[in-house]
Amino acid sequence: MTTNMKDVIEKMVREEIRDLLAGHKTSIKEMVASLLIPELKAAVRTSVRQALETLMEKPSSSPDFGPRTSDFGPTTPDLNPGTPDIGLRTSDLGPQTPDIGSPTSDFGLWTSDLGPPKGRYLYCIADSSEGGSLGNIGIEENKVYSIPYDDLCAVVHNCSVRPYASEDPEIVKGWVMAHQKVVDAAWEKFGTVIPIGFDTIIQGDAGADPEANVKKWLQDDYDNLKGKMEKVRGKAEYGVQILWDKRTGTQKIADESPEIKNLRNDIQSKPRGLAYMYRQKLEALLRKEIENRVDRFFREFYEKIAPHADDIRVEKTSKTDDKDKDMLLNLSCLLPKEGSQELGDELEKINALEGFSVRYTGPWPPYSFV
Amino acid sequence: MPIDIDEKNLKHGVLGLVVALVEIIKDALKLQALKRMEGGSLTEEEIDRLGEALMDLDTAIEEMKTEQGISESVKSVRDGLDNIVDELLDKMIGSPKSEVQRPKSGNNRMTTE
Repeated sequence: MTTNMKDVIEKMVREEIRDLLAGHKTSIKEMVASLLIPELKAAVRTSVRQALETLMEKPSSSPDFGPRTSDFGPTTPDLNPGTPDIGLRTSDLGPQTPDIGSPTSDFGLWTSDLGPPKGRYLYCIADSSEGGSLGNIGIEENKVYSIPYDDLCAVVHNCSVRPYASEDPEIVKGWVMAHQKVVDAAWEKFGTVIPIGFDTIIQGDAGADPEANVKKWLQDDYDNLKGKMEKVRGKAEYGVQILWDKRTGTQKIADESPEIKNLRNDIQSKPRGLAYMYRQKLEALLRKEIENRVDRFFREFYEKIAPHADDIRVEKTSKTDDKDKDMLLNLSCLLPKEGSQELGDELEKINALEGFSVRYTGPWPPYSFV
Repeated sequence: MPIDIDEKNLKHGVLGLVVALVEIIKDALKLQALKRMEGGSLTEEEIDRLGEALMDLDTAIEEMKTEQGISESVKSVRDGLDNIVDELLDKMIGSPKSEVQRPKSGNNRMTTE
């Protein structure tokens, strides 16, 4: 008797669960499709590249690097159409949101991605003539090394000519962070660097070594690069953001304005509809006054900060995580590497003012100034 | 971009759009009403009726949003529109006339709230 009950119950439970899940089947299917395929492609890409690299390293093997169509089959179509526009938070990852999907250097044809890696992924240009390895610190743990030309060198890793693209923002975030870590490491090792944006790849011309193209690029742009190197020598980028407590600030403005105070009093005595209209008027007045104040704050703070920086860039303000706080000012400043005591003091003073808080980040390599 | 359409999120999407538009029109109406009021072309009684009508409109829209569960959709439509208008304005007005460039604030509302 008990075994029968158990079976019946099991059957019912199973049916119920199936019914409950039936509604989610389509979303589960979509989730698997959208997550499985990019991961699979990325894994295939990495294994193929690693296999080819091992092939290249074998000294005795015949240098037959031409594509053997019998082995590889039809060329795979563009794996990940387009690069996503990921709005990465600058406070998490450093200065600028890097320009994801910046065009590959226009040096060669879009060659088929078979054979030895024809691209060099560019991290930064360093003020040194060293050509050596920095270790396997690159994106997807690629070996990072420097290609020298004259007294500069390009910090790269070998890659395919296809830019890195993924629909998964977590993956892209990982790549960007690896990029920044390499630039940091190069900055430490070589002292002065010109950081390059994310996903910049130099291709080799058909038949030519991509290394040669990197050197040619350094040679063509030598004066410009040297100039930039001088500009940022011994300097670093610091971020300054000033936040304002909108709630208490608005309260203060309301209290300080006689016009608003009068309106408030009037409203008390009016009938509903009239009171509503007067309230709308009050809100409009308040909004205008806030706008004026914010403009004034920006100007005042900018003028206090600018004299202490060697160069300064006004960045877009973004929404803050805190609903009550607004970002008034977002600046990238070029300062000496060790920072600026005067600027620090100035920012302390601002931070101490009621309703304002200052976010001071850095030092970063000078992404915004090259 | 594959658009996933099923009955439920079609309702959310379309309804969200419609209500966002209604809110924007309501805001425009409020602005007009304020202008008329300040211009002195309305009697007190008229202002009162206008106020009541707008207030009722406010309440009705809020109720609808809560009932249909589309407050988030509506907000995201309006935020998206605000960003587009902000960018457009920056492009048109954003040329730095003075040394100090006015920051491109992400906080400007396209319409008055």
